Amino acid sequence: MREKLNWFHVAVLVYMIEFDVTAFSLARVTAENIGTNGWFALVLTSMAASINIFLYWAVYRIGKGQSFFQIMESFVPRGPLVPAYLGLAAFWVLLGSLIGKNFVIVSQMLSFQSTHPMYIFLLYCLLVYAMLVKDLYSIVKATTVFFLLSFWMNALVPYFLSDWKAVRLTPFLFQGSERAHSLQGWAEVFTAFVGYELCLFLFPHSDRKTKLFRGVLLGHLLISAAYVTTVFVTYGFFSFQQLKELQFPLINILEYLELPFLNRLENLVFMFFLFSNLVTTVMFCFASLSTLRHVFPRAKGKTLETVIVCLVFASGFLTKTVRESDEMLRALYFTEMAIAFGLPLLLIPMAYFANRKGRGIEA
Amino acid sequence: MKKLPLLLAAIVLSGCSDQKIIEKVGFTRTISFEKAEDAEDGRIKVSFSLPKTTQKESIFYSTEARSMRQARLIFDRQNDRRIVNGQLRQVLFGASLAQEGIWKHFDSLLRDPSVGNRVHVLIAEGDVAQLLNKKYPQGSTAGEYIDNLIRTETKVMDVPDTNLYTFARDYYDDGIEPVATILKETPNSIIIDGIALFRGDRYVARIPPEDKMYFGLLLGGVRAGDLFLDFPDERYSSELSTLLYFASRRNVKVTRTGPIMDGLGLKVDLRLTLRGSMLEYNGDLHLERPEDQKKLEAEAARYVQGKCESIIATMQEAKADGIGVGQYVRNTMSYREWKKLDWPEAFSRAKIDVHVEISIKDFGKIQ
Repeated sequence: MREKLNWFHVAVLVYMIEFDVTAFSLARVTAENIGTNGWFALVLTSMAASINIFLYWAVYRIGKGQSFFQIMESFVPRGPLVPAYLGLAAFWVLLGSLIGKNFVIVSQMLSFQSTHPMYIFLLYCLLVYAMLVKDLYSIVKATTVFFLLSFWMNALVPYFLSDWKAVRLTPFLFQGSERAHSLQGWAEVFTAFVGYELCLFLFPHSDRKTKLFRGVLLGHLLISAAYVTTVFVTYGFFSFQQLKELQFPLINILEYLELPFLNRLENLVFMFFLFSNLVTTVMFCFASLSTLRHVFPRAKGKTLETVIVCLVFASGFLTKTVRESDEMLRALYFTEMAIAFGLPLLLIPMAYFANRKGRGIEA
Repeated sequence: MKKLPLLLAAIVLSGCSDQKIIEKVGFTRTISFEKAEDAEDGRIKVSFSLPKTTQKESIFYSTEARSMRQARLIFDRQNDRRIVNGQLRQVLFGASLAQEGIWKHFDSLLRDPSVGNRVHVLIAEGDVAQLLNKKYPQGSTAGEYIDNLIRTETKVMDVPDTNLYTFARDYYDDGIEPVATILKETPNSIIIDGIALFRGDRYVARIPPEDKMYFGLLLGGVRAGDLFLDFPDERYSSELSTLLYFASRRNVKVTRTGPIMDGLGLKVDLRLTLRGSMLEYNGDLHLERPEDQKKLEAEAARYVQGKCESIIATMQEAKADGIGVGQYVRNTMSYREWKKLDWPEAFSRAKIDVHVEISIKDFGKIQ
């Protein structure tokens, strides 16, 4: 029997999926789009994401743990669904790839400036491949290790308190943003939390003992707490106007770290972000892989995995500059958000009717 | 399948192409900017100081250029090692250049990812290149010497640790103006010669070195300062005393007594509390008597208050709010009101009162 996940594993996984490149610029994104005390916007968007998670819980409950594909196909014949599946699979590959490529581009600001970015991305893709060829349970085990390697960074927060001043937070709420408040602005803040929707693909790997949604919610709340704390600290550490100017406030704040025997510590710390981005890419590829497996159940060996990783690498050629990468990634995140909210809204009624139909046959 | 490890090795090992071998790079320790002799087409004098591997000597380059990068390209043509900014410890701006504004040059430092944000930002009086290129009896290179000097001085927090981070932070903040430490060359040392007050990126006024501790008090949170109180006249019953290892706290209270837009209806109370040891005393008081102790505390407080008020007057005259009163004023206003307010102007007219409370923890080994 295949090993089932534990809620703790699920929490770690969701934490690591949501934790990605958006973290570097998050404080600026909130300042630009929301304004003063933009950290509070994260609390609100995190709550919105929790509601979305609740919708997935509804899918799980109503569908009695059936997988995404089972629910879909109980309603629509498989044939017409295949193009949609392929589209989704391609989209997730693209998203996972560009998250990884964005990380490479950002990391090259700090080190390996003269190496070809696609070469570094190739190494990244090898790591993705090494994880993807394993089953989900092994991916999760590796993720747990990666989680420990990156979670400790939250313990750095007290270091910044000596230069943190509450007075810099200002008493104004959501004032002075670059642009007028808009749905797009809020959506951009929300992109930080994209990733929890992949819990849909954990349905087949969990049973009642897993307590899947306890894990998903816990992971989401944990990363929300980490993000809110980090951004809150950043707002009192930098001045508001400065935050809007800094490309990657998180890297700037890490630059301030110094030990008596070592300075410029951020170069070391930065590398730990590799793991969180790696897990994000791997899990989007995993979603894609699950979909492709369903479409091509007779694919041999590691063919699908190899194809996916090759596509990830190829998609890396799409972006070369920070601007391109940010623009494309933003568009992809917005699409992913629409998918994240759209899928459960589609699946809940399907699962409900599929259930009734199922009962009718039984009776 | 057997070829796979070979392939992997080929891929992974080719990563060794992007190396920075420590013996083949020159680490810049100090960069200085000052006015060029004939400042035509926006040229300034840029100097780089790179310590040699012995750490006892340094290589010094100086040229006229329009920016730091342009200057570095010229130095790169001369230096036998590749120059990198990763170990930059301080930037010095000549006082007369700073009076014209430094943001243009500051920006290129902030933008460079290899420059950390703890790099000291200093103002230097006189010939900066000469200050940097001189040998001092304190040993090591001038760059190392300055770095150590600033680190030691800022430990007690009377000189604010002005670095790229604090300068940029306060430059962007509309409720405070940046400050920087001033250095000056003496025949056989480099001395801290006060604190430069900025308005925006322009150096507009100076706090003299004797008063830097009072500025530290006004800025808030001195951790272990020393204060030499040189009581000036007969209004005080003591001649001099020294307060050591004191810690201070600052409390800012803003009240509005009228229309605020011109600053006249603004009353700010700065409450400073100091606690430390009195380890030097000359005067007529009998310190074994509790009432005399209290009297000394009150006299010291009065003295400190006077000093602080004169510093505030200097700042108000220069319209440079280096202690961040504006941040607290901002907290009492609506966003729209604050945005309309011309803070430097309002600051110059605001009524700012200082209240000092000193408690002497002990009087040393004799009563």
